[in-house]
Amino acid sequence: MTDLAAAEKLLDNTTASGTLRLRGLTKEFGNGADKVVAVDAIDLDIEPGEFVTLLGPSGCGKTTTLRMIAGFEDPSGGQVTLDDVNMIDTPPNKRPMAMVFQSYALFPHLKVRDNVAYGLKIRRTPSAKLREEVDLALESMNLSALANRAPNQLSGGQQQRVALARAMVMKPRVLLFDEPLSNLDAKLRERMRIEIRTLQRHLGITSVYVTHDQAEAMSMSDRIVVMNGGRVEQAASPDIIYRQPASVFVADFIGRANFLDVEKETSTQQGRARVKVLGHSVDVPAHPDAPAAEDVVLLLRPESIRLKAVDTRAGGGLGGHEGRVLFSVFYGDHVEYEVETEHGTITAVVADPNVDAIHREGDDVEVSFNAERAWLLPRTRQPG
Amino acid sequence: MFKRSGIRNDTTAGWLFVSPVLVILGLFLFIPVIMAAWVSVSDWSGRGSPFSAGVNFIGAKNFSDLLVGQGLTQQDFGTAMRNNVYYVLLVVPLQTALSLWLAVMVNQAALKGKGFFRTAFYFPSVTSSVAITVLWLFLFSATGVVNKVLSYFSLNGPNWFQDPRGVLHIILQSFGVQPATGGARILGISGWEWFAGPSVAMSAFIIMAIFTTSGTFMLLFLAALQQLDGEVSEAASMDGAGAWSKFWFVTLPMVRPTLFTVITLGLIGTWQVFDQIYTGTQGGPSKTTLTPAYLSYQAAFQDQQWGQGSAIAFILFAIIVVMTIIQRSVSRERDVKPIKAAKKEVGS
Repeated sequence: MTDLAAAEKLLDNTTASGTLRLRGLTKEFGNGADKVVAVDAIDLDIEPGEFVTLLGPSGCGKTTTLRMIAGFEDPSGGQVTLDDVNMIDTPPNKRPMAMVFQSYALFPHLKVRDNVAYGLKIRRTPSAKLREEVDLALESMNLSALANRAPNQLSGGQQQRVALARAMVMKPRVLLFDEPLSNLDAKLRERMRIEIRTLQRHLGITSVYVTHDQAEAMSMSDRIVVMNGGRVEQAASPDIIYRQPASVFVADFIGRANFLDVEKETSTQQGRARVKVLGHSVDVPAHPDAPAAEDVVLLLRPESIRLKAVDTRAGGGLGGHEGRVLFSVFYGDHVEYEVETEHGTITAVVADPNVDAIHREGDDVEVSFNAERAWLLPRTRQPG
Repeated sequence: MFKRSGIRNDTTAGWLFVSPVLVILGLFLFIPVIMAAWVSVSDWSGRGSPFSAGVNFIGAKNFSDLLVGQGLTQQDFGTAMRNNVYYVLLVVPLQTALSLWLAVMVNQAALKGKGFFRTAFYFPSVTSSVAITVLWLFLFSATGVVNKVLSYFSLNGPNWFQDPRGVLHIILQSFGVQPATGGARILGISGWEWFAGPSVAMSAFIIMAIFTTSGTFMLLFLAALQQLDGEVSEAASMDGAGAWSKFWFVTLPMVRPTLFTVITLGLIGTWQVFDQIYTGTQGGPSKTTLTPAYLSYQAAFQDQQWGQGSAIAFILFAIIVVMTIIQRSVSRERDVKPIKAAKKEVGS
């Protein structure tokens, strides 16, 4: 585990966390017909101490955005400002930022201690102070015992800690992470998530974290910026992103989703709408654009769907609000169902299942859902 | 049916499989070396077989003539050694530095026309050394291009390939240092002569060697640079390193294995200078471009003193081996020795 006291001492009163602003940040690659817009006029304000994750599929522009913040890519347009100072013409080595890389990027020829000390040496830190700060950084990442090892003598997790120590010792105003955990195994990844998050929250360093792993984004971020095709689809807290996604893309990318074609009846009040679904007329929360949209879909998360056994002897077959179980999979902590309904096949997840009550393949079930957990949104994103 | 009948049969089969290469290596490498070793301690004149009855064992006379003989043979050998020492001292560091610099230049992502420059720098390496030498004789002739260019700067270029003056001597004498006479002689050469530096003629060869070999070594460095993890370089940038400290403290240490290769190949190559000398100056002017390799050829093929020729070759071999060992031990010293990479994170 990380040693928060040491980390705190290292950064004691020396770090002013930065306010990072992106304004119309754009990156184009190639010319003419080959031109690709990797990042398309992004605006983003990141407050001091905030942990913001750029999340999206590969090619969405998240890494390019991070590299423009770091200074490794020259933007085709727009601004990156740190505490109201434009950083565009500042080379990476002059920006008060630090970065943790996917490949750890340790200097292979230097010992752990020298890896951490490298930046301070470049800054010509007096040797007594240098030693003290490197010791604190190593201590804070629980690396003191490994100080004299070479990087190739460390495991992946240990190497990533060294990379973190190396970043922290520079007391950056902004800490950048480029998919730092994707080379670690699942168990270690989960632990490192918590450690990084704890450390960051405790020290309050403004952080920008790039990942394609939604679990990472959900578990660590103050705010998630979901990107697609070089644009920001939605920037909001994890619960808003999950419960009230701004688009079908976001809803689909984060977590698992059922999209039901529904008929819109009336808009009752602001932020709600009445729709006809599974044979009922239901009042559900709605995206602000949904009432005006021509074509809407209803988002139902698998865990908000409820299934109840139907007494088949009472006759009837597939009724309006009934479904038939196509298959069920028992995972121990939850059961997953695929259910055929009038709205097509939907996925339902039942947590902590009672083994006797598991529906079998071919069973008819009554399908219902928690209306407050549903979300009506326009099928296509509104332009502008 | 076949049946595996133990290790014995496998061993026989193994020897059988490697026998062709053993025969070839023995015939063309091992036996000739043994023969040369015999010749170097004999008075063989190149007629008939070196193992025939008329050829006598004369002990280490060929070696002692060269190393302690007090005669013309020793003096020629000493001169050749001096010439070659300066050649090595200048060519190896300069070509290494130049090739590394070129590699860094053509490795830059931002450079336009990378392919062109890579080809252009590599081109001299694939051109025959004879052709390049002839070209050099033109360029560095008294009225050649080099002197013409120098004349634009009001400089009077020397008659390069005819000028036996040592460069160090020229510099020393320009400061008013007078030639010293007498003193101890090493390998038949006085101290003053040892400090002659490369002659003007040899300097032209030195420039040529740097020009021709840098391309090859650039390619080796380029391959090494392209193996490097770009993120490591970026990590150095994030740590505040500028281009220079990044090169010095990150890039250079990581291409050290290649640096070792380049220096070793450079040392071996420069101690074997022959074809340029043979095509160009044949040791002149005043023996200032004489090299041990060329001297060995002269002794054997021109003077029919095959024993002496072989002896020079063996001394050269010893020099190269010693140089490589020294160089290896020096460059190995600061390596971080990997013990055993921890494969699995131990719960911490």
